[in-house]
Amino acid sequence: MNDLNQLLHEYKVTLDEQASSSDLLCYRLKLPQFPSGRLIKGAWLEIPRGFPDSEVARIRVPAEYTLEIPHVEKGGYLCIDGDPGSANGHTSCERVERLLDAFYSSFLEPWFRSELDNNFIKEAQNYWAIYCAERRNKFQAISRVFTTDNRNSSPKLYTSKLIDIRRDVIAGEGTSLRAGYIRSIGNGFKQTNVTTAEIPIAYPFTPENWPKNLADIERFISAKLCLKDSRKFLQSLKNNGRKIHRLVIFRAPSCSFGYLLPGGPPTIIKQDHSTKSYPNSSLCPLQVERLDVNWTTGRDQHREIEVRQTKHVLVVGSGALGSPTIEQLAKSGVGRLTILDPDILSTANIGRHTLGADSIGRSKAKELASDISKRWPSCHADGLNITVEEWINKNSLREVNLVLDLTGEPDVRHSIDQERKKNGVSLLIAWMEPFVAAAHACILPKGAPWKVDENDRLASLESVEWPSEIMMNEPACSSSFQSYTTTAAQYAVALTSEAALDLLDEKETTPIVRHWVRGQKYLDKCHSGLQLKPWAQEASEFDGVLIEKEYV
Amino acid sequence: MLEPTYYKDLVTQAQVKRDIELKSNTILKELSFEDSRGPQASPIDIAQDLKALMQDLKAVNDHITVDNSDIESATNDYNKLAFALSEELPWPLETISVIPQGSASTKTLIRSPDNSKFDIDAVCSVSLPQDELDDPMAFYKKVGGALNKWNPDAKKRCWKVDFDNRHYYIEFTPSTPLSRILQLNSENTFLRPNRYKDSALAVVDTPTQKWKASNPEGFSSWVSDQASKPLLTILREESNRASYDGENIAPVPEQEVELSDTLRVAIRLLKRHRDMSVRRNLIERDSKPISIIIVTLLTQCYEGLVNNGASYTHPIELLIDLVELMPYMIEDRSGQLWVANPTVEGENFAEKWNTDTSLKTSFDTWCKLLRDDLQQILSAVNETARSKKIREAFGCTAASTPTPPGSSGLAPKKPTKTHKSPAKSGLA
Repeated sequence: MNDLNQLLHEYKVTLDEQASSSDLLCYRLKLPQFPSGRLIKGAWLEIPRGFPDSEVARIRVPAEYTLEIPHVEKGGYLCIDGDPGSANGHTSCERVERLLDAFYSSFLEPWFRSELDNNFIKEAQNYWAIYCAERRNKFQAISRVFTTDNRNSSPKLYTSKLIDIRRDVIAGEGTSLRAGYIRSIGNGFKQTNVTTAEIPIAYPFTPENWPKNLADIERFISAKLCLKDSRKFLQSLKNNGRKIHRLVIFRAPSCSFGYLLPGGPPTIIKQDHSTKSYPNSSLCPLQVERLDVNWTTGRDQHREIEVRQTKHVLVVGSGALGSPTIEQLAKSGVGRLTILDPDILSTANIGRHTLGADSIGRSKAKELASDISKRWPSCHADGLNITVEEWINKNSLREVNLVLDLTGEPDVRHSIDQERKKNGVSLLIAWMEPFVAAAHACILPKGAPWKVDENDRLASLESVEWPSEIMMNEPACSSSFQSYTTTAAQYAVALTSEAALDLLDEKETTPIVRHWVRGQKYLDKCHSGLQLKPWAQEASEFDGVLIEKEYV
Repeated sequence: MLEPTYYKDLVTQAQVKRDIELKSNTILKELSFEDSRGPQASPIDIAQDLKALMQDLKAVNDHITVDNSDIESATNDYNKLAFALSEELPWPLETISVIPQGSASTKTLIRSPDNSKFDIDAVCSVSLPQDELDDPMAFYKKVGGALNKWNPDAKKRCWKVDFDNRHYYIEFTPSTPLSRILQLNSENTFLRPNRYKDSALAVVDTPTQKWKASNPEGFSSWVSDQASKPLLTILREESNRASYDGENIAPVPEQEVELSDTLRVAIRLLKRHRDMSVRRNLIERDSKPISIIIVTLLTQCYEGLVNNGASYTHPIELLIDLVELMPYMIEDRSGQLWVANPTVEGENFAEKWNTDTSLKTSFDTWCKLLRDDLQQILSAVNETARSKKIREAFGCTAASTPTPPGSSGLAPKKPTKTHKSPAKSGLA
C-alpha cells in the first residue's frame, strides 16, 4: 500500500474524512480552475474496503451533475474505463493510476475542450434509462413500452394494449405481429386500451432537449401531428382524462422515448384484503423496447429478414432434426410455417426433441406450432397431426415457397417430388446417418427434381457403409431407430437450417448437396470397424468436414 | 417593383396584419417584465434586465460564431483556389473575379449544432468573349478543370472542393456578367433595372445546360447596405457601410458581429434557432426554412422599417419586432406565396412552397416555436431561468478551453504508462 500512498501523494489527493466511512475511503481530487459554465464543484476517488480483492475503486462527482454532464451516472459516479478489477493481474497501484489517468485524460480534459458536449446523443438510450429510473415510482400505470411496428417516417395515432398485471404496453397498429405479442406477453391477463401517438424524430433526445413537462409534449404534438390528430389527442386530455391512458412514443432511428401523460385512470393495487387506488398525476418517462422482427431477429443487421417474413415454409417431420430446425427458421424471421407430423411425442423423444415432458402424449406438430407461435410471434406456425399425403390431398403447394422433408422416409420424398411437378417450389431433403457420423442436405431449387432417372439416390449419398446391427428396434414395435446424441445432432441442425435459409433467400439456384462428414476418430468412438466410403475419405483425418457437390 | 418604397408598404401591411392577428398578445409587451416584477417595475429594473438579456444573447452570438482559426484556414484555402482559378483559366486576368457569396459574404455564417462542415460559397465570374457565350457547359467544365488539383465535385451550379481534416468546404459557381448575355437563353426573365443590376450574373444551370440569372454579389450588398442603416437611436450618427476593395479576389469577410449590428444578429440567431429546432426534432431537416428566405424576409423587413422612419432605443426591441413581423412579410401574389429576390426580377425563393405544402407548414411551425421561445425567455421569472431558457432554445453550451499543448494536461501527474481499455464483453 506504500506505493499506492505515494501515487495518491503525487496526484495531490487528500483524504476527505467527512465523506469517508469505515467501509469507504474518500479522497478529494485536485481540480483545476474551471472556465465559466464548466464548473465541477468537486471530485472524489473512492476506495472501498473490499479493494483490491473484491471491489473496484471509483470516481464520483456531486450527483447534481447526473444528466448535466455526460458520463456522470446515478449517484454522480463516472462511467469511464477505469479500474479494471482484480482479474486482470494489475497491482493496486496500477489500477488506481489507470482510474486517475482516465479521469483526467478521458473525462476532465475533453470536458474542458467541449469534446464531451455531443456525447449525450451518442449514448442517448443510456441517459434515458437513467432519467426513467430517477423518475420511476412503483404505482405508475405503465412500466415498459414495446413497439411492434417498424419506425415510420410520419407520425401516427392509434390504440395500443396495456397488459394490466405486467403494466407493459404492446404498441403498434393492429398488425398480426402486435396481436401475436399481445397473446404471448398478455398470457390471458386483462388488457386495456391506450391512446398512443407515435412520432418519428430524426435525432435521439438528450437530457438538454427531451420534453420535461406537459407543455413540452403538447408542443411536439402540435408541431408534428396533423391538425386533426393533434386536436383529437390533446382534446382527449381534457375530455376523457380519467377514462383512458395516453402515451407518446418518440422514435429516433437508434432509440425510442416514451411518455405516459398524466390524467389517465388511476392505478389499482390489490394488497391482502384491501384495494388502493393511486392517481396517475404526473408525466412519466418510459423506456421503450423494440419487438419488430428486424430488431428481435437481426438487431438491424440482416435486411433479408423482411423478405423472409413474407415466406411460407412447409416442414414435413418434426422430430429430432425437424423440431430444432423449425426453431431456427422461426428465429431467422420466417413468417409462416406449416408443420406436418402424424406422430405423438413419446417419453423416448424428449431427450432429442425441443418439446419436453409437458407435451408427452400430444401431437408433435400441434404442440410445436403452438410453442413456436408463442415464443416467436413474428412466425405464424400451424401444426397438423397428419401425413404429407393427407395434406396434399386437401392442399396445394402453390402458396408454399419451400418444402423441407426431414423425415428420411422414401414415400414422403416421392409424394413431395411428384407434387412439385405441378407447382414449382424449392425442396430441401435432409437426413442424418447413425451417430450423426454424417448429415446431408440436398438443395433442390424450383424445377430441380429429387429423382433422377426415377432413382431414389439417398443411399448412394451416404458416407458410411453401415452394418445391419446399427439400426435398433424398439421393443414390442416394428419401428427402428438410430443411435445418436442430441449434441452430435446439432451439427446436422445447423447444416439443415443454413441450407433451408439459403434456398429461401434464393442464394442457391442450382441443385447441390451439402454433406457434414465426421472423421475416422469419431467413427471409432461410436462403433468399431466403421469405414468412410471412398468419396468421403477426405474427411477421415479431421473431426468433421463440410463437403459441397453438384447434385446431378 | 422592388425599390425601397416597396418594402415601406410591405412592412406597414405586415404591422397591420400582426396587430390584427396577435391583438395584444405581442411579445413586445413582455419587455416591460410585468409578470416577474409587477406593474411597479422601475425603468432601472427594466434596464438591468435588458442588460442581462443582452449578455445572454451575446453569449449565444459568440457561441455560434465559427472559430477564427477555421475562418483563417478557410480564407487561406479560398485564396489558394481563387489564385489557381485566376492562373489556370485561359482568359485575361482582368476579366476574372472571384467573390465570396452566401452567408460568408453577408457575415451571417454560423456554426452548426453538430459541428458539421460549413460552406464558403464563391462566384468565379469571367467576362467571357462573345463567341464563348453560346456554350455555358464548356465554360462550366473549364472552371472545374482549373480546380482539378483539388478533385472538385460537380454540383448543380457549382464545383465543390472538400478538404480532409478541415471544418469546411468551398464551392465555386462559374458565372459571367449578365450584361454579356444579350440573347439570354435563360429560364429566368431578364433583370429589369434595379439597384443592384450592375452586379447581376449569369450562372450555368447544369440540369438544363443553360444560363440562369443570379446576383449573389448584389444580394450581399443589399443585406450589407440595409444592415448599415441605423435603426437604433444610439447608432443614428454612425455609419458602417461595408465596401469591397475592388481587387479581383475579394477576401472572405471576418465573421465577428456585434449585437448593435441588429439585422445580422437577428439573421444569425434565427438561423441558429432554426438549426436547433431541427436538432430538437421540432421541425424536419428536409423541410426546414432555407437560409435565403430567412435572410430575405428579415432584410426586407429591416429596410421597410428604416424607410418607415422607425426608431428603436434598444436592440432587443428591434430584434423582437423583426421576429414578429417576419412571417407577415411573405407576399401573396395572385394566390401564390412569394419571397422575392430583390436583386433578380422574377425569382421567387419560396417557389417550392406553392407545390410542397410541408415547406410552408414547417416555416409556420418554426415561426410559432420562435415566438413561443422568445415569449418564454422574456417572461422568465429570474435571470437564471432566463439564461437557462436561452441556452436551451439556442443550444448554447459553455465555451471550450483548450488544454495547453505539450503539457501533461490538467492532471497533477503524468501517468507512468499509457493505459489501454480492458477488453469488452460481448463475445458470447
